[in-house]
Amino acid sequence: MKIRISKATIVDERHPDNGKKRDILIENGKITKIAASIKTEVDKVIESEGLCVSIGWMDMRANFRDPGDEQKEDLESGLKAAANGGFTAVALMPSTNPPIDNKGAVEYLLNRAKSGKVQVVPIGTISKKRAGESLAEMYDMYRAGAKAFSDDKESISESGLLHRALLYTKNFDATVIHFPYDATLIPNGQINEGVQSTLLGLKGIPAIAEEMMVARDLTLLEYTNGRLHLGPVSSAMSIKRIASAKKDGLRITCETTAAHIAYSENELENFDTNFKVLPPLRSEQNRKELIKLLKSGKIDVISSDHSPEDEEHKKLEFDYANFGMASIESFFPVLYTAVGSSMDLAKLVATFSINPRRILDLEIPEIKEGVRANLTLFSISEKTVFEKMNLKTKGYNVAEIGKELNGKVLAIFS
Amino acid sequence: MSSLSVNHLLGIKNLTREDIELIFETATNFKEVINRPMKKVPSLRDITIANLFFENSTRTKLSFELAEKRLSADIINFSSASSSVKKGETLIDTVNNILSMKVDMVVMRHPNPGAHYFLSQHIDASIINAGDGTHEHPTQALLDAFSMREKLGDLQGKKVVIVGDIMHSRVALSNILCLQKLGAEVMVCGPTTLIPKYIESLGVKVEHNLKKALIWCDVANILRIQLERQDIAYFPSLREYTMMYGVTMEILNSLKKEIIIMHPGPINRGVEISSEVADSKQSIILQQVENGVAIRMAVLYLLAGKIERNS
Repeated sequence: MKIRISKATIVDERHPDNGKKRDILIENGKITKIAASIKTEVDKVIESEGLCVSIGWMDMRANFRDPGDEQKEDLESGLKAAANGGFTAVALMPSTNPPIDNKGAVEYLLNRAKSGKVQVVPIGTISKKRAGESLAEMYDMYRAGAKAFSDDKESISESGLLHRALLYTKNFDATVIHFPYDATLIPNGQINEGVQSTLLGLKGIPAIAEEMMVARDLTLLEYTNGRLHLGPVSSAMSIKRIASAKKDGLRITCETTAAHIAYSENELENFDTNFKVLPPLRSEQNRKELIKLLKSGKIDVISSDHSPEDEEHKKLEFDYANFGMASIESFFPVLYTAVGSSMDLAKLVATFSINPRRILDLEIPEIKEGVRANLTLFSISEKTVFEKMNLKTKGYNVAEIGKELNGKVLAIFS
Repeated sequence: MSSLSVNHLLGIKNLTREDIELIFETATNFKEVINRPMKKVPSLRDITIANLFFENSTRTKLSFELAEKRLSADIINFSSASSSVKKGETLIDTVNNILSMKVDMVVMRHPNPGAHYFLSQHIDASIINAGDGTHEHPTQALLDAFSMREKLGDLQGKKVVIVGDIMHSRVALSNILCLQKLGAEVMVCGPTTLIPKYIESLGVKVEHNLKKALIWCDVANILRIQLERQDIAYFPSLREYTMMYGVTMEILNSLKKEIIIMHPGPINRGVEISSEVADSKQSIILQQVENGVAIRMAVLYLLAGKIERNS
């Protein structure tokens, strides 16, 4: 099968032709030619207004609920949704039921996803049963294919455990992924503490619940000299502190989600549980600061934090609804609508293609002749209208249903 | 005849000033009605109203029930101290079960903020919020403002202080929004641990000294300390609360002016308000209760007017 990608703008800051329009010839899954114009007869031509090509995208944070809650999502539906969202690789959080806290669980994920188009990158837990007490067998999981370790949204309150995790993972140079959140500051917090929490009578989660934890984590990191990735972070102040620690030479990276770049607490005005996420959506002013920080390169990774829920856990009174959005398919249009052409596209795309792979020590694909095509094709001129029937996720909680957003994912090659 | 801009009364936030004026005008008429020897009017005949109370209530429930009866509505009552979710049935199912019995309007009190918004998106009936957790209690705010207006006339530029646990109070938020729509200035006064950090963003003043707050105001609306809604201790003891924020005759006499004292009830005599103050001529606590029935009649009547009848 011969495919020609016609007049696609190359989006890859490492590529000599970055920003230029090129024809790309793909034969049987391999890139065979890249040129200003290719005339060869082909079986299929891909062309579109505003067509762009980058290396295959990677989502650094998704939940496919498999094993345990397959009614919300399973590996099959999750991987189809990831492909639909333009991703050729996805890191899966270990907060399944039971959690991915042993070699067998890691192997289960890798075996189930072996033949698919989308590469699964398992993240193992830091603690046994994700209970925040004793270290899980991280090396055993690492050998089986887990690329980093995290207790996902169970923030580690016991400093000693994170201390040991940062030290222990140094033995095999793996990254610890931590969600900085002090849940004891405001028990049962629901949304950002701000104007909306005051107007809605919902328990507010102040930004300092995150910032205090970031400060502790950075102190531990400096002391241990381990490798730490903090995410998702929501407060601009957190990111500034992380950037300054990075400047001082600490091995630290950070992540926020497309939702935190695109949405603020104002979305919650009518108690829409689809916008109930953790960390919470912050103020509009904070959101604008996040965009500035993103443009200045201080945010390493943007993820979807895809967290599919069924109707039974979302169509409820606000306090009872679970946190999370099913967001892997709307990821790019949501992000692109918020950031748009105000930011260098290659820099933006790097946060969900090159950077996650670098942090997780994965091979980074390239757009060049002679290699297997690992590409995402997307348009920045076309628009996407989200309709339930076109989505692959089982998740009930897609916030963008019925909306028209800028940008469109066209295809992946992997 | 003019009508409300909304089909539900979910909160004061959704009302326009014109809506509030219309409710007051209607309530004035009903107040006259309920002071006649024949207190009942046939306005809501053949309208069925369900009173759903998922949280304890005495006075609000009685007030709504009486308002409904004075309007000749058919009513059914459902009370459950715990939310139906805990029993395994969702709120939507519980309410839809009741609606299948051909109910036109739902008056609901619920412990979760936003429960009424949620319900209004999923069921087909007119919904009146009788209190949703720490969010809003619109009819209380309407009757409070109505009572103030009876005493003071136009509220434009009038100064109202709300004293007490602002953080856990739905009355405070609804009052702030309602009074601001009517042009009044609002201040909140209470211990620092019970004042939400971002309350000033709503355009209200904050004062932690009771006497200063009372010197500033024309009306003091004193809230009950809601220990049941506090999951952790925000102050050391009721005794200390009373020492700092209890409204006594001694403070009132030191003000060199006469302010109006209000309280949404139930009052804890000797805690946030002394008996002497509660029973004084400055206090309009019992007028508030009477006006509550008239306001609720007005809200029910105006919303019922918006129901499309098949016949």
